[in-house]
Amino acid sequence: MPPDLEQLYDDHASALFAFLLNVTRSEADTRDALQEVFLKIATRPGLLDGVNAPRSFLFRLAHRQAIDGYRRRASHEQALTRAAAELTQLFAPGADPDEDNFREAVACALAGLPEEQRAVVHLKLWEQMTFAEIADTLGIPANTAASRYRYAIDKLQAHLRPLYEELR
Amino acid sequence: MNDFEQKLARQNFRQPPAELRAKILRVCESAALATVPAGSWREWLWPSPRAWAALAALWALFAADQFLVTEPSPRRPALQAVVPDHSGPGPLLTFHNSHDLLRTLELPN
Repeated sequence: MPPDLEQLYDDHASALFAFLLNVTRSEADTRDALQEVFLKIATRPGLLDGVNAPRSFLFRLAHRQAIDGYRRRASHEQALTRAAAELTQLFAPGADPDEDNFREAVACALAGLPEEQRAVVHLKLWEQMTFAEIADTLGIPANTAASRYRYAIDKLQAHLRPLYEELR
Repeated sequence: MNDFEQKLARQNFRQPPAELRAKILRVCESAALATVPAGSWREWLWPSPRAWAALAALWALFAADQFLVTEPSPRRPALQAVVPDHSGPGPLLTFHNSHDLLRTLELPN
């Protein structure tokens, strides 16, 4: 049965957009990947049949799309240049300038993580997935997901500690 | 999750641009229309796939038989004999017969 694409978009597009933006660090790649995810569902109406957790399934599609985007890019240097240019656009702006500084620092620290750690951190912190769910979504063992998360949090904490202590 | 992780999790990501929704849904709609669903033939045949298959086989047999009847073949002498032979002076004889008939009836031709 063909899925209700509008409903699917309204339910999951914001979360997928945030995930893709965090993983790709590029607005253009995020838009392309998000469109590809929904195109796959539109052109293969039975794709979601029998899927118990559509959100996890969509994240899996989005992650694959982001990885394909990386492979298609001409060079890693080009990716880094684009990422640096778009760092400040990761989070929604707030009213408190100190919090904005912290957000900017978080975006910068996230950019310093390898892509595979960033994906795990995003799904754990901003999607509240368990390590088993993350493992299923990214196609990795649960132990690997847990260790990637721990490494990433240690790095983020080391990078952000001064600012974080200041804000407490 | 410790305090630091909770602090990170409270940071809100930017929302997708509003125009992206309309654009993606428009692209999806046109792509879906252009794509023939893979299961459409199966769905069409679904109520009685065996009946459709039997009908198709029957039609194929009938078509093959017709082909063999119209194509003279040494393997089908009996069928060839049944087919009337239209070659020769058939139409000419018919014309002469009608001419004689008109003369007999003395009608202007």
